[in-house]
Amino acid sequence: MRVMKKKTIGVILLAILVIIQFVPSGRPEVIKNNPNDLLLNNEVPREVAAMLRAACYDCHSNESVFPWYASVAPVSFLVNRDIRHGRDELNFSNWEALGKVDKARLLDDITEALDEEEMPLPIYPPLHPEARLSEEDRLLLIEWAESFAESLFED
Amino acid sequence: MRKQYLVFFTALTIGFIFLNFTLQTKDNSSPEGNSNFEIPEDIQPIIEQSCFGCHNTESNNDKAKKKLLFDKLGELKTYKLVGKLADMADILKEGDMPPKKAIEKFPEIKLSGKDRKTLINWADKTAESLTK
Repeated sequence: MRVMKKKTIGVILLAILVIIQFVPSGRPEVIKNNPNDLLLNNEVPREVAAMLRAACYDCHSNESVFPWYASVAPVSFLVNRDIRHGRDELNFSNWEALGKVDKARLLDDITEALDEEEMPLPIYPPLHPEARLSEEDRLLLIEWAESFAESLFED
Repeated sequence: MRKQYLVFFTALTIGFIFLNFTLQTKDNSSPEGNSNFEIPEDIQPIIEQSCFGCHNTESNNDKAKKKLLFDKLGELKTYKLVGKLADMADILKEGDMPPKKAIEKFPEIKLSGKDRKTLINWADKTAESLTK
């Protein structure tokens, strides 16, 4: 009797897992060619550019790279939601389309999110070793964001 | 021997005092932030009524202090001042400030629709004008 019950539960869970694979997960579109991209249009130090790509671009650009498990529900729901939200707040692929006010606001937000270790999201670095930022990495990124922001106001 | 030391130290002290003066004048002539930044008279009462209570240097609300200090806006670099003003406009548009919980406790800080609009307008315009 007990064995039967466990089996039934297992079958039901498996069925749910199979069924949710057919629920649309709202996967954001990947666009490789972005003429307004931040790194394409600005001279960013190589180290900084590499960190931005490794630690930020998956959610904050149109060039998201999806690991295999990001296609499997329910993980796909969470990943896709984070990416949609991330692009909504800040999308480096559309950088040049922004006005000066938004650029200043976002660069200031970047320094704060890095300083308070709000970004990258805690769930991201364990799964992406290249996105693990040391204290030095953070400082380097913060300094870059500050000087880049200041350069917007130099004529 | 002692006298010599005394003269030496006196000279040194006087030197330091003068050095201080020169450094100070230098500091005053090239301020880092936007020291001429001022909150206009029609905006000030609104901020005082609804924002300043938490967003000032003496406040006990650390989170609010970290985000924004109205008494230190003039010390910010231009990009940061623009960023803060733009954030302010966004947050006010979303209706996230003043916080609901704070309004429950202190109903007098509630922003009227008109005051909210005035603040948003000012923040947006000032941010924009600083980028020119």
